[in-house]
Amino acid sequence: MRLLLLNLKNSCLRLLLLVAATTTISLVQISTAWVQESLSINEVKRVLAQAIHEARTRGVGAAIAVSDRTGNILAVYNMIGANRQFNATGADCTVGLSNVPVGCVVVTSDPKQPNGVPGKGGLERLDVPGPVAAIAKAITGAYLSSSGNAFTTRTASQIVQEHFNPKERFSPSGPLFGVQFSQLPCSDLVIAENSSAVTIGPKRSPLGLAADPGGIPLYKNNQVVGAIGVISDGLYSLDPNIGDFDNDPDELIALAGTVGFEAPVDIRGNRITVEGKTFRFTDRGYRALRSKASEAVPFDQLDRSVGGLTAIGTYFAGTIRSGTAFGTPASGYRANTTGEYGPLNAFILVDGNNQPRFSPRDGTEGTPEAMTANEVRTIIRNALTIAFRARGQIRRPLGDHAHVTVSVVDTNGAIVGLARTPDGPVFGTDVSLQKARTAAFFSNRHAGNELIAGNLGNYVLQVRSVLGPTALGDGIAFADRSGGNLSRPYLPDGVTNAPPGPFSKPIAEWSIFNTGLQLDLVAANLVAHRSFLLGLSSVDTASGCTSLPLRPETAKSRIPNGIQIFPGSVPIYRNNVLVGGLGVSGDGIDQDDMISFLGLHNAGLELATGIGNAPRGIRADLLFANGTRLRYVSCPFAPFLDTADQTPCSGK
Amino acid sequence: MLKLTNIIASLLFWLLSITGATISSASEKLELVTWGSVLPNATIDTKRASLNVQVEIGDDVPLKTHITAHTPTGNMLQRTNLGYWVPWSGKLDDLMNTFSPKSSNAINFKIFKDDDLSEELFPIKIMVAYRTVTELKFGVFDLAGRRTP
Repeated sequence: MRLLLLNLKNSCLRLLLLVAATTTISLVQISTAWVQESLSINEVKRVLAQAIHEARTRGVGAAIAVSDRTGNILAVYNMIGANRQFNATGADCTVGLSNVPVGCVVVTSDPKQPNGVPGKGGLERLDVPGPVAAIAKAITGAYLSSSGNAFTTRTASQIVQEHFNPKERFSPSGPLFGVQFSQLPCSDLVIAENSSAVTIGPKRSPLGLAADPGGIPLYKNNQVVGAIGVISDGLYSLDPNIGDFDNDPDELIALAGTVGFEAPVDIRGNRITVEGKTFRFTDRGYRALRSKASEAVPFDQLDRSVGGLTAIGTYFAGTIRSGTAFGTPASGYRANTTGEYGPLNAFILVDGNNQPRFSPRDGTEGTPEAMTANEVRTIIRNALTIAFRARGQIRRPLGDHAHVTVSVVDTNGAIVGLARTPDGPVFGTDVSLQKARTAAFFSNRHAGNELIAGNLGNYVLQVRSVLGPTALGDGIAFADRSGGNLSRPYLPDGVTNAPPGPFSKPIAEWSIFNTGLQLDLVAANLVAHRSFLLGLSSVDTASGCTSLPLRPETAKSRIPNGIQIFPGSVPIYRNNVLVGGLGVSGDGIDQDDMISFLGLHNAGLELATGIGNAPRGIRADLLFANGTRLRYVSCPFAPFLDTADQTPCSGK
Repeated sequence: MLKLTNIIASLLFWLLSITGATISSASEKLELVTWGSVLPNATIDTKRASLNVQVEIGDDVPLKTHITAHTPTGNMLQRTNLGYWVPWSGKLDDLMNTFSPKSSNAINFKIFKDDDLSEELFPIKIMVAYRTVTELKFGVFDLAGRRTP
């Protein structure tokens, strides 16, 4: 009964449960009793019309995209004159998409330098069509949000920089440092086809997640149903200064689009804290709008001279679509009905025929140590059990449990199981898998040689100069927190002027668009996808990122959706033998750490087959780098809703 | 800046990509390697898909040949010698021999023949492989679908 109560969403449902206490009400019944909301075509048109009205009132053009919660692109509209005619090198960068001339946007890590920051590398100075950036911003707003938290791309900007908060010298990096390189177009988890015939998600994002303000979630009846993404200033950037309040036209135009679909006030980012710091939702509120939504010209009456719907690549065919209700089979996410995770209200991913995509299965190694399907199932069930007990850090109301996705992979990077809580943010689907694979990869004795084979030997040299000549070949167990330590531009993390971590670019070259090994693993894939979208190439990026050696068991590398460099995963061992990785994503990073570490620990106790966390003698927290000890996991002090246990990970 | 090698690789990848019924290249020998070669992508007509892949084997003596497919939704399949696609565990020991024909120094992998793939999601990742006495050599490519009304 206690566990049941923890999962209830609001007081009305609690009351309902109390009234019906004499009968049996399962969590599944309660969950599916909720009305599953989605955007209709007319509602998408309304969002567009309101945003266009604000843009016209401000005298600017904008590229506008609307997404549903799982990344189905419902509309892309480009206003005439939106964004830039010339890119960073002065070349004409306009393209015609659906007979609409489309300006470009330039990637810059400093919005005051519209042609990019000299000396910064990676994606800096790259240009992409405005609608491509708008799509990435819409997907970000949708993927980061849930019924318990509403985050925007401004929130994303706050949590991906080298300090948290940005510009707070000597503060460690943002808690989601590196999340911008997730949901990649080359990910093997995401669904590339994006059409009314293929609605299952999660879909990919052309640029990963965005940190440029102007992506804001849309809600109906307290449920996130999608997001709007706007770009009008020609810059795909971030907000490096949280000490002021900007009048960002992208954000204000997007905000106008959300009128009538506002995020509930109590779950907006600015009501949620991490490390004692409050997130930012938007810099300005609805009072800053210059237009009235009620006066917006209806979409169907907009003149062609204003702009038009813009088909783009595999994302949008040129006709407005309705959204898909999250939690229904059509969305690719639904409640699990097999009971294999016990009484937990687990959700799973399904294909277009409503069949589970990632039911637990054996590891592919074919060795005696490889995980069995039952072991995978037990690991996931124990991890989810911790999640349902854990106090959610990034959710409202207080007292709600953590919502996450849990992924398990084998040493080849093959997905051997994936399940989630019902309302975990969608971004955690791909990210939990990235985390699981990253932990398994860096803990693998082949990691160094495979990076060298993939022309990334410079990072191997760097890490060996810091950790010793056998690093990435000696079987040390790396949780994602450990690898993340090595991926920061300052090591120790946040200590201004400290040298960079060996997987990072030096701070002079570093930006969120040039993180180091993380980007270099997938840069060619991103460039290939850009060429495909621009029509410069008839071939899209491969499904499966990186140029590392391939595995015959998967036909991909061991990290085919890229690596992730913020905490929330552990490698899985059978006694002393590495057998895979467990990744968790969706709540605070300490919660994600705890769910993975304790979930695996408890599964090991239940199974008694040797499965468990890495032996303590080979964990990366025995290593020192730049005079500081690496971290393995960091768990919250008093994390549970149902017990007063403290420091639950200590001694395990 | 982006690694030049990556950009060149990307361009090569594009140049080698073809649309058609047979993947083979007059200018570029298609070979399989133990760490997995990246073969040119292919695009097929989803309603009537036919596709062969011809690879050179040099001095190798293949004992078995294998063909697998990984779908975007996570299914793993392998092709039997009779042309059926059946579920595969992902374990190499469970691979069936497709008995793909060998001629002089090449193997011709028959991937599809007049198959209806109109209900499938794309891209599908295809692997072709052969096993010698000592090792498994393989190559992979993405299969895209061209949906015709």
